[in-house]
Amino acid sequence: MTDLLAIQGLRVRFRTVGFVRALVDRVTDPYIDAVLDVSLMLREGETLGLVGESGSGKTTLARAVVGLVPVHSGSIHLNGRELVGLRESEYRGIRRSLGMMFQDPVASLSPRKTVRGLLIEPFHIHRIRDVDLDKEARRLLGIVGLHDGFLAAYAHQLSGGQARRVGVARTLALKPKLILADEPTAGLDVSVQGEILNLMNELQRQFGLSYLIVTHNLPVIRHVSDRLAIMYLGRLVEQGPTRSVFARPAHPYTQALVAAVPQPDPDKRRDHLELQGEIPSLRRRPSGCEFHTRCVHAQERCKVEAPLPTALPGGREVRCHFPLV
Amino acid sequence: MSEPLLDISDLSVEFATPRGQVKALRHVDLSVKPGRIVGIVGESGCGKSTLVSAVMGLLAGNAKMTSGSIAFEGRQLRDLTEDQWRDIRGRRLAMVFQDPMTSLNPVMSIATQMVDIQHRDPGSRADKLKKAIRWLAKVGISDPEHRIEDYPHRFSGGMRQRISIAMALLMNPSILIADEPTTALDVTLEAQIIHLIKQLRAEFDGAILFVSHNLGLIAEICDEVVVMYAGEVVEHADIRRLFHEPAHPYTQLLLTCDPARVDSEERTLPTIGGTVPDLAHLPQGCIFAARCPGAFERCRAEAPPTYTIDERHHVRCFLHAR
Repeated sequence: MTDLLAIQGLRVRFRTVGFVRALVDRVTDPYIDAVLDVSLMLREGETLGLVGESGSGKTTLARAVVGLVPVHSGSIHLNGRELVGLRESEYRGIRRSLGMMFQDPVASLSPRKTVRGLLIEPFHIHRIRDVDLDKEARRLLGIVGLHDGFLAAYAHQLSGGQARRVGVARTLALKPKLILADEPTAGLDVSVQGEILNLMNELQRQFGLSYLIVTHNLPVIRHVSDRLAIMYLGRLVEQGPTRSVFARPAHPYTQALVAAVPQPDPDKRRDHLELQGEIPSLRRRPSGCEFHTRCVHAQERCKVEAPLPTALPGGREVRCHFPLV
Repeated sequence: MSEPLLDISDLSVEFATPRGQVKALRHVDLSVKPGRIVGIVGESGCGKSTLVSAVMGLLAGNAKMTSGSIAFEGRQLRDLTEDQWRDIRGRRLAMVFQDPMTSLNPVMSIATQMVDIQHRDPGSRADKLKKAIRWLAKVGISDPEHRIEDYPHRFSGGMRQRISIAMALLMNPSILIADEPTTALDVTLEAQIIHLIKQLRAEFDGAILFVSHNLGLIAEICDEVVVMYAGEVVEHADIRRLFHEPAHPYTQLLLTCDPARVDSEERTLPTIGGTVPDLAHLPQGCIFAARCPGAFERCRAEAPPTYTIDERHHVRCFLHAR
């Protein structure tokens, strides 16, 4: 299998204070690193789950791939082509093969367009004129299991699940290879959530799609992804096959995340807390291993020396001095 | 057995909309005893929020209670005047809302907000401030003497939810309603908030109504559970009974659908076929019949009453008719 997406040493930074303010307040480093030194790859037909708490940089990473935030350094190869440094006009062509599903299913659809208008918009944006737009709109609706009656509907007339289906149909309009889905089931009820995930799974088989799914929902990602990448403060702390990462987490942070998910079984109540405190500010990254401030296994070395990504058997990688496996 | 703090019986609420009368709640019975944590679980549109709003006296202007009563500490909430409500709401009945970003006033300091809610209490501002600081410490805000002067934006989401909980418990209410209190938070913070509620339970002698769609959280914290579907209570049982021997087909399907309960690494997840009925045009018969795998003729013809399996397990389904 070939690598569809290969990210090397990616760094995305944002300016936090303006130039004048930085001078006045003598801020030497007015930047924060939202994504730092991230390397990962996604093979064709594979699903990668990108997991982390709010502020861990997972959405920023996905947005960097689509070219919605500027990359500071590193490289992103899609189908062997370098995306970093492309001009906006060049990116336009690339985006045809990249589908993006945004977080809020209803809010990500324009309230002023009908479903038909939403579905054919990608063809207008990419100036594709040699297609029968009505036929395309009906075809796309059919793929996601909605009948033609929805063509004239507006976003506010759709339920959350229907809006998500329209979002999926729109993403598929230009036959992308890679779909980046940011919390694809947030805000949906469990029964509807299952329908959407089954649909995405079905489409993956049918069209050979690859997914990069950004989420903090661990029970869901466990069922839908082949590989997992766990982010903390903009860095990847662990990655590997979903099954083995869930079975035996190598990084203490992964272990804490898995343990924090409440089990729907009253006989499995937890009486202690695995993870205390909150995620530190990106402006004041802790020294050494950045997780040491919350890590129950932290030792002296963790406070001073930053761990490097280490390979583990079974295609796994962890950034920890004292991995748990 | 002690007397219930809150006793809802045969409560029905309708909303007047351009599409007609939407029957959002129908014949809801629920009694809450002191010291219990009662979970209310159900999907969007099942009436969880309408029920909570009815209890808090916060129903929208187009809503009308068409039947039933809500008794709280021996008083009929339906008969209260707006002034009497102000005496109860926030003092005897407190609420923690879903979104800690919007439930605190952004232009007032935490100190001002926490002193203001004690407005009806006797005592000096200094005393009230001291009490507020004590509560902030209890919910795990470090350095509360100084942090209390800060504005909500200076706190993280998890901290803001802790403050909301402190504000709700400050008046020592007899019922605390927590409406999806962790939905806006990350899983690690969620675990912390749930842990906090468990800890505080010891020093709070009232009952908690815990509204959530997350079965994991319900299992983690509740003593008993009410399952709602399309405006009706379909099942009410003790926590272990509900998770281990669910009686209503909807409860059974809901439990099957939870990805956290699907053990295998199966890619295809179970779902409940069909959709929730339109509450403006209710079907004849059982509200769940159209989606129910066990439905038979009678279910489509008449609506089931609530059957009692035993004293602590009630279900609204003909499959349990004796």
